[in-house]
Amino acid sequence: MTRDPLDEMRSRDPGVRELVNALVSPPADDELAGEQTARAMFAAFRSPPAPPAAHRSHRAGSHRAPSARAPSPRAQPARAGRSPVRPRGAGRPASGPGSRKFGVWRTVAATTLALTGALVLAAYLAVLPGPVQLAAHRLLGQIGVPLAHSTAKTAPTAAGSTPAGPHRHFRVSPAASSVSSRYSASQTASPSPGRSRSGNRGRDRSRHRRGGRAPHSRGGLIVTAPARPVRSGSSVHFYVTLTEHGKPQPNVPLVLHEHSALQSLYQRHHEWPSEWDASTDAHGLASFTVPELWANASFVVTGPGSLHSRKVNVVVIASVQAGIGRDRRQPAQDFVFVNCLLARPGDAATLEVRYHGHWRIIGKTKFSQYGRFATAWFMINADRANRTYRVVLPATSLHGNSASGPVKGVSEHHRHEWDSRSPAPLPSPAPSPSPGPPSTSGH
Amino acid sequence: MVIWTEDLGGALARAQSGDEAGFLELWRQLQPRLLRYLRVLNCEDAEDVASETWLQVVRDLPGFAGGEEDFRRWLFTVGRHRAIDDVRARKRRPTIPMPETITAVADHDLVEDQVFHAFSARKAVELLRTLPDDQAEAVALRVLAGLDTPTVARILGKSAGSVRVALHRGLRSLAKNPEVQELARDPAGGVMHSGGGER
Repeated sequence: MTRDPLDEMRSRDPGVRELVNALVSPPADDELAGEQTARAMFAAFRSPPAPPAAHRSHRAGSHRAPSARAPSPRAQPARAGRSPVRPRGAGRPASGPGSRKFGVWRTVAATTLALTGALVLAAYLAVLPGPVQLAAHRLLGQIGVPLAHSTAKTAPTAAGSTPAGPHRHFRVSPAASSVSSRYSASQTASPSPGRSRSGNRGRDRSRHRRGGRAPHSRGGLIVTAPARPVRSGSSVHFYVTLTEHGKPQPNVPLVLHEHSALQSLYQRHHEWPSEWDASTDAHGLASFTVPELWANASFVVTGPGSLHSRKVNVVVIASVQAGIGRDRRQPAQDFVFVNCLLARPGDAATLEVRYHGHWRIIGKTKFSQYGRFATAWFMINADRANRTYRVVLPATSLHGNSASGPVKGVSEHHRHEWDSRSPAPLPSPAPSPSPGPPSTSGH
Repeated sequence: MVIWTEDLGGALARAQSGDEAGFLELWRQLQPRLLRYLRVLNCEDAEDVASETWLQVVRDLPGFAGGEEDFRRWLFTVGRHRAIDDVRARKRRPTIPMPETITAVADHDLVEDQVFHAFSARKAVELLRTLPDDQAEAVALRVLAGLDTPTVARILGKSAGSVRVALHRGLRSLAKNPEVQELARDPAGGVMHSGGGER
C-alpha cells in the first residue's frame, strides 16, 4: 500500500511538520470574529416555519437577496407541505369509467368558470379591446363594467397606500408604524428609536412605491449587524428578518441606508445617501452586503410605509501602517513613523513595546499634517535592536481602537546596509506618498 | 491526522436538530480552517466568501445527510465553489487594490500568544500560496479540511493518483523552501516579520 505523502513528509521533514502545525494552529481572534453573525444567521434560518403552499405563489415576483444562493442539489432540504410524489405508473385508487367521466366534466366546468371570471375581471378593469369592451358593457353594464378605457383603473386604497404598478395594488395598514424593531444582542449599537422613527417616515412613503406587503402590528424587523469592529475597507453583511405575528413576511422590499462618519465630517449633512435594496425571501429573510466600509457608519433598514429599524452603528478598525526609519542627524536614534488614512491632525497615537509577552506604553504623541496625510513619529533608541513595537490609535469618531502590526527595531546589520544606500531608505512599505525622515520628532 | 478538539459528529447532529450551541461548535472548529483554505485559494475577501459559504450551509443543513467527514467535505466544497464565484466576479468587476497593510487586526487585548498564532498561520498560508495552484489546493484540503486523498481527488475532480503526485511535489517544494527550513529551526520566531523588511 502506498504511504500517504503528507504523513511521509511530516515524519521526515521537521520544516514541513512545523508548517502543518502552523496551518492547524488554534484560531486567532479575528478568525472567530464573525461568531455573532453566524449565530444570528443560524437563528434566522432555524426559527421560521415552512411557508404554506398558498404563499408560495408570491415568490414569483420576488428577487433574491444579494447573498442568498441556490442550495446545492445534493443537500436540498426537505420541503414541508410538499405533496408526496406518486410513483410512475401507479394507478389511481378508484378509477372507473364513471369517475373518469366525472373528472373530465369537472375539469371543463372549472376551466369555463375560470375563463368567464377572467373575462369579467378584465371587462371590469377595462383592459379588453374596444369592441369586446363595448359588448361586455352592454351585457354587464348593470354590475359596473365600464364602457371605455378612460374609466378609472385604480382600486380604492386607504390613506397611505402605496400603488405597486399598473396591475398591483397594496393596502398598507396604518398599524405598520407600530412595528416593533429590535436588535440582536450581538450589536454594537446605540439605538435612538424616537428620532429615527419619526425622521424617516416621510421619506419612506415617497421612496417605497414599488409595492409589497406591509406587516401589521406585533411584527418584528430584526437587523443583525457585526457585533465586533470590522476592518476598514472590508465588506459588511446585514441580515434582516421580517415577521408578523411570528410568521415570516415574504416578498417585502427593504432598503438599507448608510450614513458614514466621513459624510458627517466632510459633507456636513445628515442624510442617508447610500442605499442598498433587497427583498425578503420566502422565509422573511433578506441580507445586505455593504461592499466596502471605510469608516464608522450608522445603518437603518426601511420598508414599505413607515416600517423601519432602529439605527445600527458599525465600528471599523483603521488600517494603521507603521515603520521604522533612521534620522541621519541623530545617529543614536531611530524613529517609528505611523500613517493612517482615517487619522486627522490632533488625533492621539501611542507607541507600545512588547515586553515579556505584553504590550507596554512607552510614548504618546499626536498626529500632525504632513502633505495630504496626517502622520506621527516617535523617537526610539537606536541601540534597542530587535525590539518589537506597535502603534495604537485610540477610537475616534471615524474608527474604533486600532493598532499597527508589530514592527521590529533595526539590527546593526541592516543599519550598515541603510547607511550605504542613498537616499536614506525606509524599511517599511509606507503608503504613498510616504513621508521622509522628519526633521523634528514627536516624543 | 487532524485532531479536532470537539466532537464534530455530535455537534453536527445537534446543529441539524436546531441546537444553536451545536452549530457554534461546528462553526468555531471549522471557520478558521475554512478561512485559511480560502486564503490559499487567493480569495481577496476570505471572510466574505466564508460568510456566503456558511449561509448556504445553514440553509441546507436540515437536509444534509452524512457524517462528520461528509460535512467537512461538503463545507469545503461549497467554500471552493463560492471562492470560484468570487474570482469570477472580481474578473468582471476589477477593482484597484489598496496598498498592502502590515496588519489590520489588533486591539488592546492582543497578547503575544495570539500574535504568534495569527502570524504563524498566516505565514503558513502565504507559504502554501507560493506553490502552483493544484499543489497548494491539494495540500490545503488535505491538511486544513483533514480529508483523505481520495476525497480530495473527488473535490478537485482528479484521480487519486494525480492528487497524490501533486501532494508529494508540493510538500517537497515546501521542504526545500528556506523559510520552511527556518521554521524548523525556530518554530515561533522564524515566522515573525518586521515591518522593516528584515530577513
